[in-house]
Amino acid sequence: MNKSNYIRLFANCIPVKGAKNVIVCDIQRSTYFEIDMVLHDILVAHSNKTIEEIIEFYGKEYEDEILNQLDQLQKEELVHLTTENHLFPKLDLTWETPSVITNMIIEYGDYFQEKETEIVNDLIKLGVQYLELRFYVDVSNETLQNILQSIQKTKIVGIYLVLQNFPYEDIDKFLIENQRVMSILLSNATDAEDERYKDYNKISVVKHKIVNNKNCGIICQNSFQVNLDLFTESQQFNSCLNKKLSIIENGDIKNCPSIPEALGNIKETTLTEIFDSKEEDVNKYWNITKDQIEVCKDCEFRYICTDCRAFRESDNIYSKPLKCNYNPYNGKWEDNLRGSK
Amino acid sequence: MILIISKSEMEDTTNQVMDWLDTFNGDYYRLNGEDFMNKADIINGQIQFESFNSEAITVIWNRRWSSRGLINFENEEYYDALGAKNSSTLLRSLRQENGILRSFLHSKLNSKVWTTRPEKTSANKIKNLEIAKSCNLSVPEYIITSNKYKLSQFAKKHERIICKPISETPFFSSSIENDIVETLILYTKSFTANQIEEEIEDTFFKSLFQQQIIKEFEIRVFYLNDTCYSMAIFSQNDKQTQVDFRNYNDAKPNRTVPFILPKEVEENVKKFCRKAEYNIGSLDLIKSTDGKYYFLEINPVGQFGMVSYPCNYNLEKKLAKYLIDENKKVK
Ligand code: SF4
Ligand code: SF4
Repeated sequence: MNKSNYIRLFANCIPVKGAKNVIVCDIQRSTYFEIDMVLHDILVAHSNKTIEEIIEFYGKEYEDEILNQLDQLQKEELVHLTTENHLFPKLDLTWETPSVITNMIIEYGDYFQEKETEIVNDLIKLGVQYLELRFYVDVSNETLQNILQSIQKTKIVGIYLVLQNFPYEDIDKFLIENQRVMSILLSNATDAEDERYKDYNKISVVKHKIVNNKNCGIICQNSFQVNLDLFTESQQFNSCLNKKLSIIENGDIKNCPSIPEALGNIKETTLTEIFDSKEEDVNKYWNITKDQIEVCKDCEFRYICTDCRAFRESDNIYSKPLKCNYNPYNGKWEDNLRGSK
Repeated sequence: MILIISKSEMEDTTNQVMDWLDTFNGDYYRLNGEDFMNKADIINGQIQFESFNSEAITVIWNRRWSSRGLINFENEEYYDALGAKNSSTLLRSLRQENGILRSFLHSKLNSKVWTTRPEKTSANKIKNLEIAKSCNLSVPEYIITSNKYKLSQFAKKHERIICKPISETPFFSSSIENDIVETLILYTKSFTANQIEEEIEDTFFKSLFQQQIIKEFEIRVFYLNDTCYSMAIFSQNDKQTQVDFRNYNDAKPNRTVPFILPKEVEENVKKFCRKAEYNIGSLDLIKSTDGKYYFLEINPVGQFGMVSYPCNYNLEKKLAKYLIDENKKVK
């Protein structure tokens, strides 16, 4: 290792410091690593020093240890050496979107048939990109096909389905014909269904019946996502509720289905009307970032963890998500998940 | 009005720029090459295309032309009916017909502002190397020859040399089994002088050989309206991508990070783009282990998504803004 060089984390390997631990979020390769505090300081606080100068700062007696650690990071391809430190800027963490609403959750209900055209037109106007379509009752193949057909002309690039039954014989054909369907969650699945779909990475099955939106908001290590979109969006906005809008089974329009406040009912108004007339209520939660939320603000996972404002520890709008059992002050996951089910 | 010339399929970039144009209330029209060939009529010198009136157009984003070939090669009837020799004549004839129509469209729009002028969409690599040199950019030494002796002499001067296509990289396809078609791409290949002695015939089809630059990292620059958006690509660690970065390694993708060109290099890159008359383009450079920056080539209609996303430059928005501004300027 040439000691006259600078050592830099690649711009897409970003350290996030918690109360006790530090992780490096590798947003290019979608993973994260824990590193120790001293190493964090070397990479962040001393980033404008050459390796030589860093060793000088800590003392010759630590040279081997420092070089060893840096070598390790280089092998993992988290850092690179350079003589031109100033030519490698940090990643700009601004998050921008052309859409008014990026995510829409629709719970299928009695209102749907009559309002379908109007809803689809609003999906286009609002520039919706992702749609989660939830069915709490069995759905026929015509109904599902019609809906998928009518959203063809929208800007939606990803569709998530929550189903009680899968109304098609030929699942491969369905997935090929409906490329925008990114994932399907099949609730109330039988053992046979579990077996049939186990090799499909787009399909997951659960044995219990999902009958309402109370299942949402569970936070665990498996739910972390390390990617540019979430990382940047959560710097300035709420990582779950920003630019999200939902219609629940009875037609109520809400930010998210599990949040108590309704903004109106689709039988009496439209999505665009709600957005235009009640913008302030619509975006009540949009700007609450993890850096403002109790406990989360001290957690190293805060930019890879999606927030939940519907299920919280207290009435305080800034309180910690209820269904998370991580404690960033001691770095431990507690055994019992509070408040779930 | 902004005119977007694109193709109908596999064009996420076009869609994303259009989303931003919508947000800015941009006045634009998208013309896919397929639709021009299938739907537009030319009557007494006027192009009739839905609401399309060439007078209203101010600025043109010249992106792509068509997703479909002129002949559906999967349909073997063409060969059977005409025989192999005639099918190439047919293809040539259709190409000419298509070429004339396209050039008529271009001449109708000749006076407009183009992101890439029609005659500039396929770059002349050799001309561009010369223009780059005249703008004080370093370029690798090269030889274009069909003669083994001359090539050997050239190779001996340099540790390793590479061979690459003079025009665009062709894509071949071969059917492996009935339904499975495999795409074969010509990647840049690297040789030593010895390999040339041993492996190469005395004469061969005239080809471009360049001195191989040992790189510290590669640089992709997206040039837009006199601004450079650069990205460093660390492909040197990875055996699989040492010579040609397109030879992707998916398991552990090369590190791609935002980069700022040294002032002087950036000025020379801009000088090059102005001199070669590109308003947008995607340039390949190399930072060599000896500390120099080498210009390799420019792709005039290059993808910018692969720079925009990893570096979070949001070039789709910047391009949309550029088109809107140009449209206002002319109007
Ligand atoms: S706020 Fe909570 S309940 Fe609502 S969608 Fe997000 S995670 Fe689910
Ligand atoms: S403490 Fe907050 S940021 Fe950390 S894992 Fe739990 S919910 Fe996520």
